[in-house]
Amino acid sequence: MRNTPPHSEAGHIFENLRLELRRGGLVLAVLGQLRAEQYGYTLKKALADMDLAVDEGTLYPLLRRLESQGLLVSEWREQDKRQKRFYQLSDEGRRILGQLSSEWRRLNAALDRILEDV
Amino acid sequence: MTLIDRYLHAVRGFLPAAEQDDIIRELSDDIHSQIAERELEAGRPLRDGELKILLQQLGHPLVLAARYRPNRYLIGPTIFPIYWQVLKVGLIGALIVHGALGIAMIAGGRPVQSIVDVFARFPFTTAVTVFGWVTLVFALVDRTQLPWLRTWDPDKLSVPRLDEPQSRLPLLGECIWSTALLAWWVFVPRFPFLIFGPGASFLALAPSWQQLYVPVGVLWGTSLVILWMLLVRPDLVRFRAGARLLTGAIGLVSAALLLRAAPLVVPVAGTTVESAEGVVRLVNLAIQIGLVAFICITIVEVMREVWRLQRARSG
Repeated sequence: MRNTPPHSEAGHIFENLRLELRRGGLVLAVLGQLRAEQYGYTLKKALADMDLAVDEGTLYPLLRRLESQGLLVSEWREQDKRQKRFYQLSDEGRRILGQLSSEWRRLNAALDRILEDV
Repeated sequence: MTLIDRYLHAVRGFLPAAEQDDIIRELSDDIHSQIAERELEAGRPLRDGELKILLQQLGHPLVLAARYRPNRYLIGPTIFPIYWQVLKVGLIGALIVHGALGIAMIAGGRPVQSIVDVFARFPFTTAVTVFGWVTLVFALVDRTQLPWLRTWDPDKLSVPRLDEPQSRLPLLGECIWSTALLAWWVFVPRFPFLIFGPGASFLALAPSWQQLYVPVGVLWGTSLVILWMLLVRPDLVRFRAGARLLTGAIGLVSAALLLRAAPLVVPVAGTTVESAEGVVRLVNLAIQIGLVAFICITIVEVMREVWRLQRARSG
């Protein structure tokens, strides 16, 4: 496959579409990862280790939004002599994650069929 | 104060007040965690240049803080195309009025420099006023989110006619523009500069105009109600031609009344402006020509609607 130069117009279009594609997936990844309690920095590292790098300016506002929507709960605790904010899925978050996961699998299977020959 | 403290202080300034402490605590922990990890990998303290790069990667304080705020806009994408159309029409209209006044002033013997000054001030006076009012009205419309946009009924969508434009945008633009014009009409007696611009110092509205002010305003308001009805009730499409005839007739009556009452503009009593009489004559002539042109165009429009009605009836 031919790579698109990053600074060309096609490169910008690809970058915008890539970010758009990632946006919904990132929410799902964060919810999935927070089935177990984590604080922001370790969550960021865990996502990066799974090849889903995300910058602070995206992750922390997203965590706050998900918490304000009632999908996450958080609390400040001390660890390694520093105060850290630990996040975890709420009961509502667990329910939504189940629904989103099913939706994701359906979408993934459909896309696999559509993109089989690409 | 360290570079990190300065960075966090700058970010704090752009954050929502209620969340500042919480967000800064969390960001601070993230930055210190990143530094600790990099120092562990390097086996030495981070150098100033490396710290600077780390902060640059986090983004400008304004950009980083903006991510924590919801998306905000004054006029949303739904009504923006109409706003843009009305703004263009408003600015071009204001420019034409200034141009006509400028020509009248030159013809009346005013020095060319004074006309140049009027046009030089245009972007900072009239243009800003038009921009401000149109933007304010549309921002309010956007905040209220016209109720019919939420509660529309597919059954009430109009059946397109072959000779009818498909888009309702022109009608909405006409409604908003006519509303703005009526507002202008309401404020003209109190603020003569709205009609005369810089000529307000030596031009005034004649008593005959003042007698017609309320009747014409009422006629105009009636016409406006009909226009809005056509817009918000697409199911009334069968009355559209009739309503257009009515608004056309109202326009003709208003214009005829104003034409009969001419002259509509007089010089301000005791004005010291030389050649004020000449300017008044020209302004009155321009108004008369404008009214006659309006009457001719409206008659053509009315005849077109009559032709449409007859064609619709014949099948």
